[in-house]
Amino acid sequence: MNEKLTSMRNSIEKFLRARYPWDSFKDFAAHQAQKPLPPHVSWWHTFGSLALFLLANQIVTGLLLMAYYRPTSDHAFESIRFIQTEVPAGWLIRGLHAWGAALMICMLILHMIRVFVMGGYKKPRELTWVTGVLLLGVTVTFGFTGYLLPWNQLSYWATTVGTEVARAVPFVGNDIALMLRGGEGVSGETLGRFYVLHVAVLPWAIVGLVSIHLFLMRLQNLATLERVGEEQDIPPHHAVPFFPEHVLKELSVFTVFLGFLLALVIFSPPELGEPADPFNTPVGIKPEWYFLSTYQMLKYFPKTIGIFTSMIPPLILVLLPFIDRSLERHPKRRPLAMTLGALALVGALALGIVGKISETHIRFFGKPYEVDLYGRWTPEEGSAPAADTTVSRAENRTGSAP
Amino acid sequence: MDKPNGAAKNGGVSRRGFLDYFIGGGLAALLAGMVAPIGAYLWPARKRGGTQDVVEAGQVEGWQVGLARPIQIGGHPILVVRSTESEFRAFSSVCSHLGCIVQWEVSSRTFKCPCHAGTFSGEGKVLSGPPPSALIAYETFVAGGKVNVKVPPA
Amino acid sequence: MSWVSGLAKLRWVVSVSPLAFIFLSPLGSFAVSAAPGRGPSSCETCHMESDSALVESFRSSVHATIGCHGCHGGNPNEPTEDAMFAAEDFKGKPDRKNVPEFCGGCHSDVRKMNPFGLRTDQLAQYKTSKHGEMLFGKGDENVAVCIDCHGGAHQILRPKDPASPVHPTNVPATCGRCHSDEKKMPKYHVPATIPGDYEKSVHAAALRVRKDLSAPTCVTCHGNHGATPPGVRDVSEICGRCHVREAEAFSKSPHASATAGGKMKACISCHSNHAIHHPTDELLRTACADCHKKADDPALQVRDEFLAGIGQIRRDIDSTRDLVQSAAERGFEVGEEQVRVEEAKTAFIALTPAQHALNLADLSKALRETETRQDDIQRSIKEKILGETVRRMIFLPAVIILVLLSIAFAAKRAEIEHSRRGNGNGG
Repeated sequence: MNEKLTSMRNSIEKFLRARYPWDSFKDFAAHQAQKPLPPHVSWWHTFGSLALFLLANQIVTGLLLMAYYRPTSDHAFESIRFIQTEVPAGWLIRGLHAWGAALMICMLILHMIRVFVMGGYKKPRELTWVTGVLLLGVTVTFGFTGYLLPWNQLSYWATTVGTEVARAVPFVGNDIALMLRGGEGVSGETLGRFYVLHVAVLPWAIVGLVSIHLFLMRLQNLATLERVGEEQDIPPHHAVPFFPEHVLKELSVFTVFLGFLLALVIFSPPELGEPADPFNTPVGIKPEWYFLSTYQMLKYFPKTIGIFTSMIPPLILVLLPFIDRSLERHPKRRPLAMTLGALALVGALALGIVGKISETHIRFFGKPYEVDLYGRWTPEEGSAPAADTTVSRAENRTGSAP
Repeated sequence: MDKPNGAAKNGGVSRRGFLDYFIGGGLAALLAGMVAPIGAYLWPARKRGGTQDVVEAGQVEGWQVGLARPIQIGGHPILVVRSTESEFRAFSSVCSHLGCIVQWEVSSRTFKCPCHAGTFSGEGKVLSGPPPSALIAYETFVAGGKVNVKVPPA
Repeated sequence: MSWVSGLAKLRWVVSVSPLAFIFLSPLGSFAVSAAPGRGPSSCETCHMESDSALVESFRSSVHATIGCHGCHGGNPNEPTEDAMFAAEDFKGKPDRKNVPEFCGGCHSDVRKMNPFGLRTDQLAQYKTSKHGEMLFGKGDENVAVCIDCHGGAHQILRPKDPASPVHPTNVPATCGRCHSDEKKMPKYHVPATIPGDYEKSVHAAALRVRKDLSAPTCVTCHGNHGATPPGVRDVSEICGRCHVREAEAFSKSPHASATAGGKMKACISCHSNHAIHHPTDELLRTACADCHKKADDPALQVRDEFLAGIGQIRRDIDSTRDLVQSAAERGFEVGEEQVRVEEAKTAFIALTPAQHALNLADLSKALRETETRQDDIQRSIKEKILGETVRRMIFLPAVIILVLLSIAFAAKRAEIEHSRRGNGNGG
């Protein structure tokens, strides 16, 4: 049996060798597999590959969802309901896709924090960082376009609010919103556009960017913690071979992560919600969690200023390697960068939490509070909120929030 | 794959052998666990597949003229009436007044709402009572000996 | 429907034709054939100078096609004052007390009304009404005559025209012009508060908020031309014209004989007459005690049982609906259950009329039925959620395998690292 397999393999290799530079392919693959990684490669270095796994998960489950999903306003909700309730394992595929999207953004952010802390974005790896930030942008756009596709009340109204933001751009804002929506309001036209972006345009963009990102990473190897320009060659016996050692580490993390993902899918399945109703605005529409901090920040600024302010953090992120040009990589020797980074992170988290609890009623140490649009909270007297405050809050929101 | 052949501990060979088998088997199980749902997912859930454009209301045969059959589409009750030998009519059984469920009365060939005594004709039009508008009508057609109702309403 | 599409056509004609007013007639075809060659009559030409508003409003009224002479007589082709004074049939302006007969000249004539499909009993009805009795019997000219309600002598519109004072939405205000006048009403011993009371009622809400034109206004119960207040004995009949099931149940209740014996005023005793509010549990709680004053009156026990039973059914339906709703949002297929909740709600709404019979057996039957319904729905929802339990049961072994595999990978890695380190140190 074994001999037969060997002879079969030999004859296939012979066939390939006669036609292609087969041995150099093999050398290249072996070289890549054996690629020595710096010795400080830790468990923290697995976030990137988890994101890559999630990308694969999104592609596979996405393709499967496309088999039943119908991108028209008449059928979108019904087709998702069909997938969720009637297709065998449909709940699993949709659950993996929905939770995979959220976790992918989580992993990208964690990966980004890891690279920031370890100074991996510094010379000569600036462009790897830039493509990484672009990847985060593409992924978030994936999230935004994908959120509309179930065509339920939440997705419809979150998209209405989200595309409304574009109106704040001076001069061309209305045209941008019109272009995004394919009409005055969010409609079947919007669904068509978002669908094409989500399943055709963005996938190519992300696959292209990931290829560049990985190519650059393999070309320049992982960064060490030494100062820029003073990197030592890795002593051969300290180098960690990519395969099998680092791959095993990744697999070890991956299996636990897969269990976590399954737990989310089974114990907190994505809801179906109610079908989109353009004539009935629900109270307190919120975007997805990764937009919450931006959403909350926009509330504090006048429209035009808000939109430009919201462009500053991504701009800083993209340009980070060109702004922070200090030679140190080790976090302990970069106190200023670490402090600023931590502040930015805490700020974003705080804004996100305020965004999450705004326009709701919360209990804090057993006392009920009402939180307004801007996150100010007032203790509540009675248990039931008066009906007229709900109305005025709803008006307030449509009036001032994007 | 030339693994670094370090000095194995005593008994390490058998332990490593077990570990290798476990990892190999585990990877295979993992792969199978990923492929199986995909196969199940792609297997047609319904023979005619897909979301509901058309809902079956039952066999033409054995359906007496004048009788109604209830069906539901996405939680919405619908009454299908065989009004003549060749004609089937489908109406939402939600009364246009306050949303009660109307009933088909065979003797008078009308839809009666039990809540406020609204009456609708066999064509769904308001005959008497408080309902402000006719019952929502659905298009029907007969194919392959079965009555089909088209959604959404015509 | 045809009337609406007719109106749409009219709008088009109005926009293109200066003679458009001619088309605003009940018989469009007649107007079209008569239109060419017919200029303004001599009546219109002269009266336009003295009172242009009168002529303009007449031209837009429903009577425009019959011309001034149709009612007033005279010769519309005679350009001088002879048109009036030389004509034998000239009637001029009728006295107020003659107005009903004046209108009745045509409107009681079956031959004249038939082409328009109009009834001819208005005058006869009017004579039976309180208004007619006062006018013809006592010569009281302060009572309403035709033109008072129909918008004046000359600008009479079709009742279906929203601008008409007898359009359903305008009827309460039209009656209220006199009937809410505190100076006019005391003379007739009629309270002036009635139109105001009506506006607070559930009927007014249906008319104004739901824009339901079939909602009852003053004339639905009191009649329009034969306006006579219904007697106490007629109340259950009149309310029962719409509230069929309530009346049917009421006739079986102990209150039916009380009403027949004159001890109770049928529906009005609990619901009042004009300010009829949406009946809630509160009504049941308070209204009974108005008559059943003793604290140990057995009637009050019946009431309490009804209150408790209705509350129970309502809570049951609400909790089942919430359960179904949350299951639907979680992505379970619950169409069947949703329909059954609607059916349960229907049965509950149908119980409202039935409770007028005050029959405790009916109530306990309804209670039992809802209970079985709720149980059925909840059981089938729970069975569906059980499907999710299966998912959870699969989850546990899957996670155990994944964790073991993870440990195996980590062990393998540690082993390789160990041997690599050993190798490195050795070399």
